[in-house]
Amino acid sequence: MIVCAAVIGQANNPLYLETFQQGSSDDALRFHYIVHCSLDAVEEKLALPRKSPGEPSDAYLGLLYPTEDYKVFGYVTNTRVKFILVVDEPVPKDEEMRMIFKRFHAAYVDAVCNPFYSVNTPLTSSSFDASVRTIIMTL
Amino acid sequence: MELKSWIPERFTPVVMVVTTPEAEEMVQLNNGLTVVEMLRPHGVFHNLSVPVRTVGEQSYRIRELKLRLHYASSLFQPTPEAAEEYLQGVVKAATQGCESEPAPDIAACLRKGEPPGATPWFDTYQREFMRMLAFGELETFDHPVACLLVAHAGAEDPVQTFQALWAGAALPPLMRAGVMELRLLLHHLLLHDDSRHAEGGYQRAEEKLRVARAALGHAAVGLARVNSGSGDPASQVGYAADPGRWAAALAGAPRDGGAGELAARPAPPPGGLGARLTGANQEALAACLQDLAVRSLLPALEGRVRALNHQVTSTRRGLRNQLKTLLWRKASPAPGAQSGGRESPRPSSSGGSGSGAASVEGQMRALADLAFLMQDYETAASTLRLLAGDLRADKAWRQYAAAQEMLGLALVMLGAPPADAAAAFKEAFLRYSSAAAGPGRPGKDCVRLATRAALLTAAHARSHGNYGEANFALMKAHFPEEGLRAALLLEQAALCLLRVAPPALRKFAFHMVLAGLRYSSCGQSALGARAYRQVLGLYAGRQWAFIEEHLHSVLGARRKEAGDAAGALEHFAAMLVCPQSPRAWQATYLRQFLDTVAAAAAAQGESPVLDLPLPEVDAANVTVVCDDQVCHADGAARALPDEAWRRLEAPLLPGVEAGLPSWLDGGSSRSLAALPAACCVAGEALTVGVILTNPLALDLALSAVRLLYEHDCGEPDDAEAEEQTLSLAPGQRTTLQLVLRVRRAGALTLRGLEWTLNGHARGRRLFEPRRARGRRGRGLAKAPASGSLSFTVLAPAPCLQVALEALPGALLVGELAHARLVLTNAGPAPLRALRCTAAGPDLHLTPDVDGAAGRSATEVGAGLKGAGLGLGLLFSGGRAVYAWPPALELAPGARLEWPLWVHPRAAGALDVSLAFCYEPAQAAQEGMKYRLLRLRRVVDVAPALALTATLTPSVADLNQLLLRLDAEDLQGAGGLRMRQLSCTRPGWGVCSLQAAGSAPPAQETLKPGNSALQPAAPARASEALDAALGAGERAALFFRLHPPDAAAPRINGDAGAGGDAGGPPRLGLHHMYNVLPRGTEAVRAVAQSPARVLHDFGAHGACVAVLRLGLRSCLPERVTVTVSTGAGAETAAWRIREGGDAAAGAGAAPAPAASLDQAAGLRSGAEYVWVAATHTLLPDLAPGAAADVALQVAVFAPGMYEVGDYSIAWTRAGSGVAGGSCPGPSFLFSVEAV
Repeated sequence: MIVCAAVIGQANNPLYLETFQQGSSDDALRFHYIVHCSLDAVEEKLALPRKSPGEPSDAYLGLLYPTEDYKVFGYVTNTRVKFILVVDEPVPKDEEMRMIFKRFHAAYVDAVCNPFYSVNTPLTSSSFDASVRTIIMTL
Repeated sequence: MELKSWIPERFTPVVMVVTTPEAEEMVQLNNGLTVVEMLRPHGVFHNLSVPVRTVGEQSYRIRELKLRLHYASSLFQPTPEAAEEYLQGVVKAATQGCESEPAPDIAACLRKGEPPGATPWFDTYQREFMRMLAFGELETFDHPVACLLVAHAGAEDPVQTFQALWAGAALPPLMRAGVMELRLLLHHLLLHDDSRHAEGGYQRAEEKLRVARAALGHAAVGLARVNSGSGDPASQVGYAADPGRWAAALAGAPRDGGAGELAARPAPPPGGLGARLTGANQEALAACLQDLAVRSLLPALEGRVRALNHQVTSTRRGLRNQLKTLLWRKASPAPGAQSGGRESPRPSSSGGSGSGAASVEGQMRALADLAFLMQDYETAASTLRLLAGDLRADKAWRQYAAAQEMLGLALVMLGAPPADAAAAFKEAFLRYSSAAAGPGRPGKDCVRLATRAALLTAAHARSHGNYGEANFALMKAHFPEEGLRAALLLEQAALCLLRVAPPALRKFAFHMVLAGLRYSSCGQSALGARAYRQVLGLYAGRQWAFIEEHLHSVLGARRKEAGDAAGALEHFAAMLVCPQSPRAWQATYLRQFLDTVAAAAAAQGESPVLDLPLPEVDAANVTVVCDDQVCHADGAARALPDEAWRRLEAPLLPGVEAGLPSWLDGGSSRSLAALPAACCVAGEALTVGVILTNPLALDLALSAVRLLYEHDCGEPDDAEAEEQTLSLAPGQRTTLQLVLRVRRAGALTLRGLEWTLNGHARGRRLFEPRRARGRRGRGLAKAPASGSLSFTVLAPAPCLQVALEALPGALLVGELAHARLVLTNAGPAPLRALRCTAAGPDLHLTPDVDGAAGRSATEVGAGLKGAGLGLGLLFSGGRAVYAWPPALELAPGARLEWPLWVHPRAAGALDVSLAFCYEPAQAAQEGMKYRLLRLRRVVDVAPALALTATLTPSVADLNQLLLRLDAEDLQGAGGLRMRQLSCTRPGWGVCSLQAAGSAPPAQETLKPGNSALQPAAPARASEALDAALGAGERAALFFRLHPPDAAAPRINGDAGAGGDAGGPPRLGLHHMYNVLPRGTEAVRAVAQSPARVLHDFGAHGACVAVLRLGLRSCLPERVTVTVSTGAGAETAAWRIREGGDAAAGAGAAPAPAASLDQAAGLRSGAEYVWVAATHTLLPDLAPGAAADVALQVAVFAPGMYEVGDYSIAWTRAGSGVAGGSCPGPSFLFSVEAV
């Protein structure tokens, strides 16, 4: 199951970071750390040369890195907005993760389409939060 | 550190120096240098060309050579503790002042493509660290290869002196232990002191030189003159004048000496280092050392290398030897191998003259190192490979690691593939590390050696651009290390991460923070703070809240510790906004911040003003409300769009509505155009709305909240800024309204907001108004602070204030409310030419206030000047403009009251908008010809009555109409009372239908005086009634409507109904327009037959009844009317009385329904006969004129008759065009026999 979802902006600034785990209070700190560290992995994956010239890049980055307790998955949009999901056991299949990220992306697009939202500011929209929670819960 | 340049400098032959005290004293006293320090700069030879042949047949030439000169007593490795202490000192000295210089902006460096380079102190540290590890027992390249004996030329017998010196020399500990080679090449140097005039002078010294050369060999003795200079700057040729030359020769030393340096250095003389050394002296010394190097040392080394090579070849090289070694090793493993590590090669005999390292491995190592020193790297590498193989087989890991390390260096110098050298260094690191795992002292030493190997790995990897590997090596090296070295290694590892592609910024930051922690824990807090500052720059504004919180916390604490409370405040202030932290932490941060503010205030004498993030001030959204030429009475007036007001005000300003000045406007247009966009009037309030938010879960108390502004007058009492105190609850967001009043004209700029947080911390925030969006610019670029918050303060002007009193908040439709306008001049100057206009027809200003017209102004209000007070009414632009007399002048403080009638006609919100225009009484000042005041109230209007009126022509009267009025109480609460119905058309009257007939059912006494609104209305025009309407009840009332005289073709009715809800009477009026009668007739006819006809049928068989028909023309032109009898259909019927009792007869107008009820008794057939003229012509009937026509009908029996078979035709007079015809109304009468 997913224990943490994050949206990171173009300048690697957190736009949205929410944890979905009942437990200790330093969860936020811990997941901040995990998400933050995963950004280096995202950049490494982005810097990898493409297999063939002109090959369309896949937004889904797959497993970024495993921590002791969790696995971190990543997804990057064409505008270099990153979605990070921290997943607990049992880890969903790759195809399933890809679908979750696509829905996450769609929710983000909806939130950004709000004319009252200015790009690259923290996402405080409650409807975005609600749709993310729905995505998390359906897993 | 570039390995290829560092290696030839570091790996050079070591010359051990032993001096006599006299020689030492002679040099030290005069020059502030020890003998070794004096000699060192001359031990570097460039442009040599010495042919040497070591192992192979080929000879090669040595071009550059450097001798490392050290005192014999200093040739030992310092203890690790002493070394650490020394290294700490080195770093401290190297980082002096690094705290004050700004940390590099990493992000900017990366954008430019130039990652920040290695820190300068690290290079120094690395060199010193390597030096501290010299003279170890595992390597031999630091072992001396020659000994230089230095004696004073004044010694009586130089040969004996030299022998005694060598015999009594304090040899290095390793040499005493036999590890170092004792069979050294001896060289001798006599120093002649020119400063002291000894007997015989220099000739005597030369004589002694000859004696010594005869005894010790010609090449082994040298003589040099020193201290020839007089100490004055003129004599210091070349060297002494250049202190940098000596700086390279002076090296620091640990507490107890060692690593090639003595513990104590002589004090520098007043003339500076080397004050008495002349150029000739230096050249003599250089010549002596070159003699030593070229003529003695290199040939000796050559011989030693060849001898060692021979030994190694005979014992180790070749197939036979290899097989022997293999078999022998397998049979009896090396003695040291059982204890996990082989001891260093021991000499077979402990005697001083034997071979330093008698074992084969020792010899191989010595051969490799000597070959390395002789720059024969190939021999060194091949020997080291062989040695490494042997040591690996022996499991002598430390020696193996040392050999691998040396092999790596040799490979670097050979230019072998980088991977080979890197593999050798890595292998060395690995083996040192595994050896370090063992307990005790060797383990600790191995950690340092492992670090050295890692440093070499990193330097090698960096020189090949392999920063990832360098980072890896440094990271691995830092784990077993502790304190300062670990911190330095981490920092270097972090810096390597910036150079990998793509730069691993976050890893860099993480490593840097770890390095900062290590620095702080080992006392290098300046470096720690620097590391943190670098990272802080990387994260500033990125909103990684936890990271920034940690960084600021550490930096703040560090600066506070250092006594820099003001600097700490910056960091503590940045920590204040931490909504992600629990409440307790927020409280702690706030307390910590306030404590530091107190400390800073105590240090500086006053509390500093900071850019505080608490509370959050929305600096981009600042609203300023002020009156310029247009004043708004309140917020409701501002809520109406400007366009609506402009439309309303247009009639007030006849010259302005076009908006564009023309030549007709003359000077006034120029002054209007000159009016600045943002202006306010001196003395009037400027209200600034600022949004404050408390992001924390704590209460915040703000005091002395005030505006920061700039006013070019400069006098502090010319402006008055209001100060406010407020407290913000957790999470509260509030808009603070601050009032600023400027008393003098000038330019005003609003800068920002200042406040005091929780009574201690003074904070401020400058406004950053958004630049107005241009037509193209879509971004929200921040305007400079002086942007749109600048105002021009105009000179004081009159200021009209209007209050609308006694206006109820809610009204009913049609209700008539009386409100009061109170006009006051609040400005310092009198005003005149007051005009007013109102939106909509529901508002009305009476032209006369209780007969004020014609009275002098002073009688009505205080402070008024002018003749009369009558209100002029004129229509302009489709609106009524009420103008007070132009001569009326309102002095400052004057007050004028005026009634306002409000009469809403439709339900909903009634917009009571009034615009006032006035002019200053004095000559018009520049830019302010007139001022406008906008006043607005919104009144809720509820529906009261639904009234429907229906008009039908009266059947009984030619002129009258019947009015039916349906009323419904829409309020639903009852209590509405209809008081009066009036017809406002002149001459028309209304009366109750019942009044003409039977007794009126609901009529009460007339209430006189209730027609105050229409005192001129005729008495007949209104009908008083008092009908209470119940809740939701529908009532229908019937009235007669009387025409004035001649009938009008169309009737414009106007009926009024009044509501009375009891209590204080509230009056209302409903108006109905265009109430038209149903149906229109060209000619109206009314049957005026007698109701009863008595006839004596006995006397006359036929009874002739005269029927009178009233006719009135309703057409606007003259008509000719013809009444034709007997022409209509036989629809009439006569009724015979059965049973004798009459059913009707009493009523003058029997209801048609009553006759239909008895239709059974009717008998059809012509029971009557028209008599007399069948056609009656009424020529030329004037419009509205009435005429009577008499028709005669004969009946032959008593009964009830209905006669209707006649028609009325009409034609327009003169035109000859046929008009129309219609059946006439039926006559109904009864004939009774007498």
